[in-house]
Amino acid sequence: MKWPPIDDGFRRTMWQATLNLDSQRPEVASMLSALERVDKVEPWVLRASLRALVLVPRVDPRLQRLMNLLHLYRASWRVTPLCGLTMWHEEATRYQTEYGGPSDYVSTKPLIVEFCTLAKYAEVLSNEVEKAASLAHATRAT
Amino acid sequence: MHYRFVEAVSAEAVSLALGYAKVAPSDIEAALVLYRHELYPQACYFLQQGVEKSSKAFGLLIGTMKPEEARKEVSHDSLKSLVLHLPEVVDDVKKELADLLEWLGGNTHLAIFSQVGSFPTSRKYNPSWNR
Repeated sequence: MKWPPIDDGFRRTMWQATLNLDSQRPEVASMLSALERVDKVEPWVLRASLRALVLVPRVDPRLQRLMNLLHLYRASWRVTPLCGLTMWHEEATRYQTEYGGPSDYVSTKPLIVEFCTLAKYAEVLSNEVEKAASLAHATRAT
Repeated sequence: MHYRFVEAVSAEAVSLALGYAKVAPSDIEAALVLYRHELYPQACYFLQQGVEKSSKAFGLLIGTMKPEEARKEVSHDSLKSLVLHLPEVVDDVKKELADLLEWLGGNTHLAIFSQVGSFPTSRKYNPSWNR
């Protein structure tokens, strides 16, 4: 999907579209379907992680490499849709902008209704990135 | 043994990534606490911040973001750049994972990674991957 240049008009459109999780917008539809896809890919990744942990000694560098890649892989499925859905809400959540402000974030808005689902995806993203970063750091340190 | 995506980036990038990655989970936890208290705009702000920190760390780890870019206020353009380069990086990760899993399958003399054959190497999602 090609994104148009991010100017004020597009920013306003995307802020509104993501606040309303408007699936008529191709960008929002694409990000929502990407998150749905995550759940279909996950079982394979989790099975691979578990088997690797059970079958390979932890000191084997190839296992560390495998786990690092699995963490990055799990994270990669979430980065794009979560970034795309949340990046428009850095300013209007704090102060009034020309397109909206904090008072627009009410309990009936779809973004707020689906907040916990998005937060769950974000929790997995942050945990996977943290594990990948810790592993990368430890590998460099040794 | 080399980490393609880790050794390709500098030690500085890895340290910076670890810094962001360690803070991101608490931003997301704060978002959930604020949400439970019905402070919705603040909750959305912290969720966005948590996702941004994780994205920065991820970009640093795979080498699509430089430390100097990450230290600045991340512009929409740099996030866009991360998103645009992601398919190529994910393809490489998938190929390397498939190689490692093949090694693991052969090493254990067990057909444990029968899924390797159906491992997704195309950028296009195919629902049969997980069957």
